[in-house]
Amino acid sequence: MRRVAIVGAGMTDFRSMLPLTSPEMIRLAVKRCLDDVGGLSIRYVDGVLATSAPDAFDGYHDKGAIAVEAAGAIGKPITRVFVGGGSGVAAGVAGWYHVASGAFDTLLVVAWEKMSHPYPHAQKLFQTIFDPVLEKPLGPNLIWIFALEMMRYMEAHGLKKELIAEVAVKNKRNALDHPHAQLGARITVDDVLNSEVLVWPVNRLDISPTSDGAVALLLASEEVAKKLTDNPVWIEGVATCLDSQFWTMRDLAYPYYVYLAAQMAYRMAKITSPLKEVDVWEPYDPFTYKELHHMDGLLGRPGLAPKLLAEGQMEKDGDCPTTPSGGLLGVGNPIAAAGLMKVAELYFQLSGRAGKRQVPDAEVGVAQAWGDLMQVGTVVVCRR
Amino acid sequence: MSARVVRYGPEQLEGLPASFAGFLRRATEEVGSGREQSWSKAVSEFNERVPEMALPGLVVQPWLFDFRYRRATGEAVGRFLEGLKEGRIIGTRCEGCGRVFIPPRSFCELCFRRVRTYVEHSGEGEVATYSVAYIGTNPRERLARPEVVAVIWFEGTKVVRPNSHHVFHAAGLMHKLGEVEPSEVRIGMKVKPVWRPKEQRRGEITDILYFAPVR
Ligand SMILES: [Zn+2]
Repeated sequence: MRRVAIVGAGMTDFRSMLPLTSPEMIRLAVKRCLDDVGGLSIRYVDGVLATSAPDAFDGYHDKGAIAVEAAGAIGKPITRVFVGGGSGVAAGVAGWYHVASGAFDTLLVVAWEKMSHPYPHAQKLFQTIFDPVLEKPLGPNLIWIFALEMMRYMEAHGLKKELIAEVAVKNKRNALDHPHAQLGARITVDDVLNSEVLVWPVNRLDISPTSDGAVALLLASEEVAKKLTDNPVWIEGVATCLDSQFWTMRDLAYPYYVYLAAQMAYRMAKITSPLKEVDVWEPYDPFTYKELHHMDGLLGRPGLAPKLLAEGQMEKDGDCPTTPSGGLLGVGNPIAAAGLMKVAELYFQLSGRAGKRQVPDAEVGVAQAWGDLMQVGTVVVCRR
Repeated sequence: MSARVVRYGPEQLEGLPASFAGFLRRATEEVGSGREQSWSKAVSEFNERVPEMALPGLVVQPWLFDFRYRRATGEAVGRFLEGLKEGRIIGTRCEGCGRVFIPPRSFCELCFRRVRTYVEHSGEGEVATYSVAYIGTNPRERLARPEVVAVIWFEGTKVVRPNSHHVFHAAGLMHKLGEVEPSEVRIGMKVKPVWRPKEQRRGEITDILYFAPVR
């Protein structure tokens, strides 16, 4: 296997409504990515790895094809990967497969989501995730199952909502320093607790927004990377792991599949003590509790993340800087693009381009996403 | 900068088959709801931030997706639904690993073998986790009364990982709780199914009205 580097990244603003079509968003992100590599011509891109969540958001069958023109893929191979919310980081994983295998020297990885198209609300489309015979007749909402998971998690470790709400406070504050963020803000724990209850224990401010947005990364083999940039960020560990679709027959208190994915990725990256060796964490945070739940899995220690949060270790200057980007709660959640934004944040942080968000001396970073029916963990480990 | 929604007027609908005209009319009605303003705002903000693209405005095109599915239940779930009609909870047990599946499955994903041992269960179980839903399928609509949604793990089906509290497997079902105030619900609470009257059952998951505490 060859070494694989991220040599450039670009993204659009994340907004509840971007007045652009999906191809226009993709093209803007790709343009900014190529500009980041010194205005590299699209001709030097060997292929495209595309990802976006359900076709239903665009209302367009096989919407992977939407990216063909916008990502400059005419006459080239293009592949779409999709594992629900885990897609954005899965694209980083699959991108690594493409380049590490020797099949591609340069690969554009693009992710986008356009959630403002469906009305009255994109969230209604998530109904199709439920079993049509056994679950849908109950009139479910996607938030139901996350509320069920959050409750089980809180019970397992005796967690209070007051603590979990700190994740929203931290991430929205971090997002103030992100130039493309949708919801950067200074809020308080009380704001979260007093926001509308949607499905107890989930309040409105525990949830990331629906968003439009696109992200693009350029991957390159070692030889090519060294010609393109002085600051490559190496992808050193990748993994995807799925658990059973039958989520009611599993214990939701711990994301075992995230733990397994992380262990696989650490082994590849030769990381033995993640808490000590990793400088920047970008776990998937579509809900406040999910950041902690996923960090438990990434650290391999159920119940550790809430303690680190309570001690302030997850702040940018703490021992375990977590979601300096602002995450899905602060930057926004255009599903597949949000996951790839997390990998892009590792690139910005480890190449020293994160501006006001910069974690000092960051050398090693981990990005993770999660999805399908609370069953997939996707992990990427990067090193500068 | 403005956004304009395409609407179908009477002149476009005239002469169309009634069902199709009705379909287009609904598409037009539902797209309104004041979103033009939000779109106009989005256009202005975008033009300020990305002047090189300078959008002239925006036309919002309504489109309605109306579709149905008719599904095969498959062997195992088919027998489960037949059982519900008679007020019985039917599951399967894997002869390889011993795990019980309720609702039943016709194969085991771990042993990767056919599962054909059908078992009947009392339906009693415990609350594995719960939540209080103020919204249902339509996120914009508050439910008239909040509903307690829960995962029920059926009695005697739990497999716990050695040296941990982590439940490796349990036969479990998402359903609602009834005859209990949300504030009284606890994880671990014992519950049993409450059935719809026999003559009203149709072989559907809603033949169980809800699960109620065993008092
Ligand atoms: Zn088995």
